[in-house]
Amino acid sequence: MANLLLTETCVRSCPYCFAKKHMADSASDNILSWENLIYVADFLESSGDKHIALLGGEPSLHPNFIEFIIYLLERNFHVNIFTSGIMSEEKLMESTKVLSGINPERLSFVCNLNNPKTSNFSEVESVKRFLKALGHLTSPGFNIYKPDFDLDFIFQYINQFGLKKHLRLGLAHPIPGKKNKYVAIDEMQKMANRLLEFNEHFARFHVTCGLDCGFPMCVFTNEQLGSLYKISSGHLKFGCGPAVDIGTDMSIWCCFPLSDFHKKTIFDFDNMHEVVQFYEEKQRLVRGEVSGLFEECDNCIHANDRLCSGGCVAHQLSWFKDEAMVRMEGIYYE
Amino acid sequence: MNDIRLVCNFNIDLINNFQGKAIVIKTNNIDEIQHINHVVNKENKLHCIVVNHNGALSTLPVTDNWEGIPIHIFATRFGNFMQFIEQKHIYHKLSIRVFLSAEIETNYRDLQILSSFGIDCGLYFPNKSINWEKLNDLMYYSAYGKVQHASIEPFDFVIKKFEYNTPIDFSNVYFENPHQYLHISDEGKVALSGLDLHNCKFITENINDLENIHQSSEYKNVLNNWQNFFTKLEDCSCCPSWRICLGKFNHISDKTNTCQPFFNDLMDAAELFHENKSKFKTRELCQP
Amino acid sequence: MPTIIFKPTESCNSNCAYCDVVARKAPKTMSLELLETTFIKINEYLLENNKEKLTLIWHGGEPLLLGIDYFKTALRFINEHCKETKHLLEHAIQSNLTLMKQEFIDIFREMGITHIGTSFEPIANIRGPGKEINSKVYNKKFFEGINILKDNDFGWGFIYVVTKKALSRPLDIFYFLSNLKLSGGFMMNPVLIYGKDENDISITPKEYVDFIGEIFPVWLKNKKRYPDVDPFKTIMKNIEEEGESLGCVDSGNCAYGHLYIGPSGETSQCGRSEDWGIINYGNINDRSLKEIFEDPRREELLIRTNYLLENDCAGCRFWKICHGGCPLDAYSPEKEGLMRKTAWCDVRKLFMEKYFEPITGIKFNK
Ligand code: SF4
Ligand code: SF4
Ligand code: SF4
Repeated sequence: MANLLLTETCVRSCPYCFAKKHMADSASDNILSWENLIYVADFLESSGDKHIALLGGEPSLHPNFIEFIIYLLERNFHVNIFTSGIMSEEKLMESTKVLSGINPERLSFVCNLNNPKTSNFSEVESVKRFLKALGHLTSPGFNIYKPDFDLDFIFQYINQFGLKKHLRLGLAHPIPGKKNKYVAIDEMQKMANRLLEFNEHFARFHVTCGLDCGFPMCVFTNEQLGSLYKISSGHLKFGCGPAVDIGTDMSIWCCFPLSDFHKKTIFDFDNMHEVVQFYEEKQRLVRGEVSGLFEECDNCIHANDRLCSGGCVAHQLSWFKDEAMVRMEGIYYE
Repeated sequence: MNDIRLVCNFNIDLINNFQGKAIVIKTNNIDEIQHINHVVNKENKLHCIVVNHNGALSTLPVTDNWEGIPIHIFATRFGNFMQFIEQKHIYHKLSIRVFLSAEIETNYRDLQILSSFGIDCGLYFPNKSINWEKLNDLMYYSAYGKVQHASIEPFDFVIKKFEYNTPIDFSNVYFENPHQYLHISDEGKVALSGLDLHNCKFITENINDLENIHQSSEYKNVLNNWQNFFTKLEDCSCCPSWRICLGKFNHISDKTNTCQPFFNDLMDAAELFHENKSKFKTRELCQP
Repeated sequence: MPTIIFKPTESCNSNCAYCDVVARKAPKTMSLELLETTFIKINEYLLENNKEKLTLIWHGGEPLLLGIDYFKTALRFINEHCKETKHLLEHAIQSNLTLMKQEFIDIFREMGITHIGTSFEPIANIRGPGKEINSKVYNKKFFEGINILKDNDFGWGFIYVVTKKALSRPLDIFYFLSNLKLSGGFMMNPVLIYGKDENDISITPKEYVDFIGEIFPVWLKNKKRYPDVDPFKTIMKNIEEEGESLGCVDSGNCAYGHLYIGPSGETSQCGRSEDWGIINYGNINDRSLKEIFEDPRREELLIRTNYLLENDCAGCRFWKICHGGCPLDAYSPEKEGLMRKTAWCDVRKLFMEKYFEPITGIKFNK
C-alpha cells in the first residue's frame, strides 16, 4: 500500500504536523492530475497491490476528490482516506451523497482528530458535520505530540457519531530541519503511562487501538504491554518501516518525517517492491550507525528479533543533521 | 473487389444492391442500432455501426440491447465523470469503441481513464489542432502502460500492425483507407473517403462499377498517391517515420518539433511490440 | 558464375548530370546481326562449359530504348541459338524505368527476369532528360514504371549516386531512399566523373566517407527497419560470413568473373573499364567468348591481388573485406600502375577506423 497525496495544502496548522517540511517545499497549488492518479493506480496494480491511501494536505480540497475515489473503487482498489474532516458543506454533501452507501470494507476514512478544547470553534463544527455524515466509514485518528494528552473526546465522538471502533494512534516525530512539536525521548515513558490510563476506556467501549510506526517498545512496562496487547486485539507492532508516500508531482519518499531523505520519483522504480526495498536499505544504513533512540537499542535482543525498531529513525537523522558529516555516505540526505 | 468494405448511410434501398459485402453504416440515430444490425446482416455482413454523437459521451444513453453489435461512437468529449460511471457497467458488455476528438485537451486524459477501465477507445482528428505533448503521453500510456488496459486508437493499430517492410495506413481505424474502404452515397455514387463523399467527389457515379473498381485508373492513381511525396526532398519524404504516418500531418509547418518526434516514438513502440509479439495478449474488437 | 555487362545501346533518354555516355560519343546501338552473333557465341561457350552459368546484365544507355521488337528478336535468337543452353543463361536488366510498358514486362518474364535494377535521385535536376535535366518529368515516368513493376509483382532495387549536392543532407537522403522502398535494396555509390566536372557535382572520397559515415549509426541501430542498404549490409555480412559475399571491387577476384560487351561488339573487363577505355579484350566478332575469358591480361588482375597481399597491403587489417580494391582505381590518370592498391585505400580505412569500428565496437585484426 502507498499513500498518495491529492493536494499539498491543508486547512489546519497542527503543531506536530509531520508533513510540514514537504508542504513547505511544494507549491501550494500542486494537485494530483488524472494522468498521475492513473499512473499510480497502474503502478500499484502491477505490483500486485490493490490498497491505496489518499491524503494531502487535505485531500478533499482536490477538485476531483470524489471522482478520484470512485475511479479507484471502479478499479477495485481498497481506498483509505486520511482527512481532517474539515470541508465545505457543499463538498461534504456531495461526498455523502456519493460515498456514504459504499461498503466500508472497500472505502474508509481516517479522521485525524485534534482535541476540540484547543481547536477553534468552526473547525470543531466542521469536523462534527463530517463525522455525522460519514462517521460510519470513519476511524478516528489521533497524533500524540506531548505526554499529557487527552483521549476522552475521542471515545465520546465514537459513541456520538457511530465511528468505527478503532483508534489509530500516531506518535509525532521530529522533522529533521523543521521545528514541529513531538514527544521528546525523555518524555516517552510519561506518554506511555498516559496512554495506558485510557486502558479501561478502550475495554469499556470495545474500542481497539492501533499504533502507528515509531513507538519504541521498551517505553512500556511488561504489564503495560500486556494491556496494550489486549486493546490492540493482538496486532501489536513497534516498527518503523517505509510507509511510502507519493507526491502530487510523482516524487516519492519514505514517510513524511523523512520526506527529504533520498527523495526520488516514482519513475525511478519499476514496482512497489523496489521502492520498499530501496527505503528499507536506507533505513538499515541509518540504524547501522545508531540503532535506535536509546543507547540500549544497540544491544537489544528485541531489536535483534525485530520486535522493535528502536523508534523512528527521524530522531537519528535529526542528530546527524547537526554533526559533522563523518558517517557512512548513504545516510545523508541526497 | 470482394475484400473492399463499403461505408454508407442506413439506406435500405441502397443496401439491397449489395450481397455478401462487409458494410459500415453511419448513423446519428442510436434508436436504429438494433434495426440496422438486423437488416444489414440479412444479405450482407455488418462490419460496424458508426454513430456520430455530437456531444458528451456521458450523455449518450447506451443500452445492453446493443450487445454483440460492433459500434464505433464518435463523441466530441467525455463529459461528466459521475454521469458516465452510472453507465460504465453497460459498456463492458458491448463491442463498442469510443472515439473522442483530439481538439479538446481534456479528451487525451479522458481516453486514459476509459482505457484504464477496460473500454476500447481512440482519438479522432477533426482538424489541425493537436496537442502533441499530450498525444505523446497518451501514446506512451497506450504502448507502455504498466497493466493491461483497453486499446487506444490509432496507436494500437499502428503498434499491432507494424511490419518492417510495409507501410501502415492508420486511417483504417476510421474506415477511411481506400485500399479497404469505399464510401457510397445514398444515390450509389462511389467516393474514396468520407471527405470526398462530403465534397461530392466521386470516382464513379455508377454503383455497378464497384465490381471492377480495381481496374479503374482513377482508383489506381489514388492508391499510388503516396508517390507524390517523393517528388521533393523535404518533410514527409525524408521523415524517419513516414511508413507509419504516410504524411497525414503534411499540412503542419514545424514538423521536426511536432509530428516527427511523435511518430518516431510511436514507431519505437511498435517495433518493440513487434519484436516481443508473442509475449503480449491482445483482445480483438471490430478490426479496422 | 561470370557476369556479362551487356550494353546493346549507348543511347539514353535521360541526361543525368553524372553520366557522360550521351555526351561523350555518338551513341551506338548493336545491330541485330551482331546481337545474333553474340548469342551464338554465348551458346558455344556454354556448350563447352556446361557446368557454368552466365548472367547477362542488359545495360545501357537505356536498354528499353531498344524497343519491344528488339527484345522480342533477342528472345527469338536465344530460343533459336541457345536451345540447349538457355537454362544456363540468366538475364538481369538495369533500366531507368521511364519507358516501362507492360509489353516489356511480358518479354522479360519470358526471359526469366522478375527483378529490375534502377537508380533514383531525390535532388532536383540531377537525373532527367534534356538540357535542363528535367527531374520532374523523369520522376513522374519513373513512378509510372514502378507501378507497372508493382502490378506485375516485379521486384526492384536501385543505386543512389552521392554527389556534391547531397553532402549536406545525408540523413534526409537516407530516410528518403528508405521510405521510397521500405524493403530496402539500395546502394549508395560515390559519383565517378571521368571527364570534366561540368555540373560541379564531384566529391572527394573523404566526402563520400563522411556522408555514409553519418548514416551508418542510424542504419546500424535500426538494421531491421532498413534492410539491405549498401555498402553497410555487405560489410556486415562479410564479417558474419567471412568474405563470402563481396562485390567485385572488394573481392579481389574479378579477374575471370566479368566481361563487358559493347554495341559494336567490343569487349572489356567490365563496364567501368570500358568507360575508362582500358583492359580491352578485342571484338566479339573476332574472338570466341572462351578466348576472351581466357585472355592472358586477366591473369594480371589475379597476380595483382597476390602481389598486393605481399606488398602495398601487407599487414592491412582490412584485407579480407577489401583485397586492395578495384584495379581500375589503382591506375593513375595516365592509366598506368596496375600493380598498386586502390587510390581509395585511405578512405576505406577512414570509414572503417572513424566510423565502422568505433560505432560497431567490432575491431578488425590482422
Ligand atoms: S510524421 Fe510528419 S513529417 Fe513524418 S510523414 Fe507524418 S506528417 Fe510527414
Ligand atoms: S575492374 Fe573493378 S569495377 Fe571492373 S569488375 Fe573488376 S573490380 Fe569490378
Ligand atoms: S584498405 Fe588499403 S591497404 Fe587495406 S586492403 Fe584495402 S587497399 Fe589494401
